[in-house]
Amino acid sequence: MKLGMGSLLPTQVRDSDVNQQGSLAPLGIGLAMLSLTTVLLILASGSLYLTERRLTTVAESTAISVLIEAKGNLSQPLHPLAMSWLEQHPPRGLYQVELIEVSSVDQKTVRVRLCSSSRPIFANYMFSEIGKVCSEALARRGR
Amino acid sequence: MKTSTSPTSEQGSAIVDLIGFGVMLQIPILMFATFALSTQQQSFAVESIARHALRAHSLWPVKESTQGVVLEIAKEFGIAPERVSWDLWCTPNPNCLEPSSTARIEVRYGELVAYASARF
Repeated sequence: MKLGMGSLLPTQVRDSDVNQQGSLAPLGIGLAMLSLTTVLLILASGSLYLTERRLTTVAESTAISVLIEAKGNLSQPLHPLAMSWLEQHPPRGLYQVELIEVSSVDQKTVRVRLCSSSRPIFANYMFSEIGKVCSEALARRGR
Repeated sequence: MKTSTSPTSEQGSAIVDLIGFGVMLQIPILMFATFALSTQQQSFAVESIARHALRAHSLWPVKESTQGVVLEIAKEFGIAPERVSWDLWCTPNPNCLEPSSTARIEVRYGELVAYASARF
């Protein structure tokens, strides 16, 4: 059978049609997974922010407590004072809180830095302990 | 609508796939996202209430004033103020009036709880 140029073009279009065949199921599942991943990432970032806020609150209260407990003598070791406060008032909603730094550079300001394990979405399931969240606070003595 | 009786056939209606995977899967994901984000927003609100209420109480240790702050922040966050409850403990002075006293606040909104502590 003799085929001209005009009869080849429709055949190519039909080949293209054949390539487009297939189930929409993988596409649908893929899109659903993409949506779910996006949602989980948004939730994880919100959870990280919430952890950071909690940690800041704890760091602030620790810094103020150290400032008061030191009774004006900020040249003494401040770590035990901070640990004492954290043991008396264990932070809730935070995991594995670590006291990284308690210092006073100018003998008037207390700097407290805390870190905590981040468990963004589900405590024991996915994205568990992907990293650490740290926060710091300063408390300054008045005149 | 094209139908196929062969299980290996890829032929069929795209409408069925669209409804099955586009709607049946996306709607639960959307519902989950809405619920989870709403819970997270309430967590932010409760956390913020605890933090600011304790500060307010440290500046002016009157329960009515602190209650006003709690209600105001709850309104700002768009959560029902009547569902917010809080307790404050101060040691050694129950009114937090003594210097060097310690205060701890617990704010609840349904199942959500937030804590804050401070030294005066």
